Amino acid sequence: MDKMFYFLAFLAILSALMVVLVKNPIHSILYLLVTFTSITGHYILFNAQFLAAVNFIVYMGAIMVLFLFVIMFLNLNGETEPQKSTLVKFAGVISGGLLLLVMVASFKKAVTIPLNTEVDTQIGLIKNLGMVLFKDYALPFELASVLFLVAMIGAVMLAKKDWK
Amino acid sequence: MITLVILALVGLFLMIAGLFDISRKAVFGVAMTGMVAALAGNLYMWDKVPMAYFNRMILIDNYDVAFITAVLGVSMFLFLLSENYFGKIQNYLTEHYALYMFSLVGMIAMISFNNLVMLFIGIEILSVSLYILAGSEKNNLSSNEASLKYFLMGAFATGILLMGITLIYGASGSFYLSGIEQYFTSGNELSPIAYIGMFLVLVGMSFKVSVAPFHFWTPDVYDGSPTFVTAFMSTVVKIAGFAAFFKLFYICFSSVIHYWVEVVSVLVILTVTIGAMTAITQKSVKRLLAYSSVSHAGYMLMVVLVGADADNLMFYVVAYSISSIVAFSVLMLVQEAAGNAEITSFEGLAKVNPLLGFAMTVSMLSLAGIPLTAGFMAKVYILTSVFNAGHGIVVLVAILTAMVGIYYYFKVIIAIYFKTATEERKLFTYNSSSLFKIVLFIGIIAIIVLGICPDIIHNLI
Repeated sequence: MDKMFYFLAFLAILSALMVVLVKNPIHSILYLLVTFTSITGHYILFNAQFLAAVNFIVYMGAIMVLFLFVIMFLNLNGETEPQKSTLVKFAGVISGGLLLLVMVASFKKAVTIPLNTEVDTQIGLIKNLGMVLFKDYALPFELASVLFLVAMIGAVMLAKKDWK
Repeated sequence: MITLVILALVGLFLMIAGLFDISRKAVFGVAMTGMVAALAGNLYMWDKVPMAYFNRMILIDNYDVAFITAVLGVSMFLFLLSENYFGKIQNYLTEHYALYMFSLVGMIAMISFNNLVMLFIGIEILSVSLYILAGSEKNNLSSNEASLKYFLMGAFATGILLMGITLIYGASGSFYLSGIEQYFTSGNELSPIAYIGMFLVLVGMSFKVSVAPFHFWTPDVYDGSPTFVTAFMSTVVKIAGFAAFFKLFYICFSSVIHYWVEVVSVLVILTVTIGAMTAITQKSVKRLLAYSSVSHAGYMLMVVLVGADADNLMFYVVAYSISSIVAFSVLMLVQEAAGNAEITSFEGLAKVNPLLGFAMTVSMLSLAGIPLTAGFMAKVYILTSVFNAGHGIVVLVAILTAMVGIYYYFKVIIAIYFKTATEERKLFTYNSSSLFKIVLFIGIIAIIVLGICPDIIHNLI
């Protein structure tokens, strides 16, 4: 279990780094796919089977294909990409590195709790998730529909041609 | 709660109404009626026992009622001035209205949240509506730029906020404000991830209310968006943002104030200074107002710094919003007549149209904080409480930058009264209806009355 976790975590971080580092955007997407796969593995380790399935189908299936399409349509390449000045890069590295340092330090000091092996293995199934979602978190769940409605209005308003 | 439901339903209704051939006046009437009904439902909750809804997801007490009233009142005030803005929209008129209604839903969720999930969803609904509204002038390149820039940076800030919320949950084991408060006041040794979570939340919220050094999106987005949307963002949205910011820090983190007080005071000093210094060189009044809104965000952040006196925050946001709306409404008319928002377009305005000139002058005086205006009293209240809390340096910097502020606000006044208009500009007609004049009149009176007897709304909560 522990070894599996470390392996998946390593894979996730490595591929996430590669997403940013590789030049070709198509390769970036493929590495992103690997990242999502390892995160799906994490969900399974956490007993969140339903989340793992949704992550697999929605993110790795639908959204990644959409990403690939968009990138192919946009025809991105290295030459058209704007380059930042060295000073900005330097400042970015320093501030990002400081954030990393603080995060790593605080996570190292955080207390680790030993894994509870007597967990209900059914906890991540749809039934339990539904109970939480529709009972405890009913209001945020309903409001999320307003959020998606707004996003849909936006997509129609901004992307459709004006008719007058 | 009823407020939230009414606004969401009105939004849905307006969206569907777009299918049918409905006159502009009727759409406007429905939106206004919806807001009045929501306001009535909200005011009904005043001075009642605090009510919790839906498994304590939202909890409404006097603080929330007061700020929701401010949000709804200011947006209704703004909507009365919207004739020219909505009149120009050819396509998707009802969808525009629906977006405003839904953004109000987001703001109410943000103000009355009792659970960090609600805060997050509220902020998201508000932000997504604003990304779209900022880009609603599709044929204007700077509007597109504003929308994209706001979206990319906003999405990043949302990620940081979410990560902060996650870390706080990891440390305290609760999304509820009371649970987090209990964790921080328990006296046990706090987990280091609680601190970093707190600072990430601070960064995320600071971005949303445009506090320096997270303000870089503000001038471009405010400048590029349609002026009405800019007015909406810099008044109504700011009220909701600071209401949520203050509530979160006051309830959850005030017991560990010694950990973040220095950080927030540095943010305050940076915000007031950068806002004032960069406003000096601006030639466009719209951009000047954008930087002035950054600088005013610094004053509102001072209330968070003190960690008490929601009354002061309430008074400040109301005074600032009314003054800003008057300024933005004059700007909208001048921009429509002159075609740009440069300070030179305001030259000789007092002779051509005395009412507009006078309204702009009063609002500039109030924003600068000249005595006998609402803006002065607002600054006095906040600076007094900051001084009493022992942050002398912050007060000193704030007073110095307020003096710098007087310089650039007076640049507009000087253009209005002491410069003469070109022959061409003398012939401009400022397309203002009688409703517009009445609202401007009320705005001017409100600024002066609040400046003379501020107790009307101070000490309410």
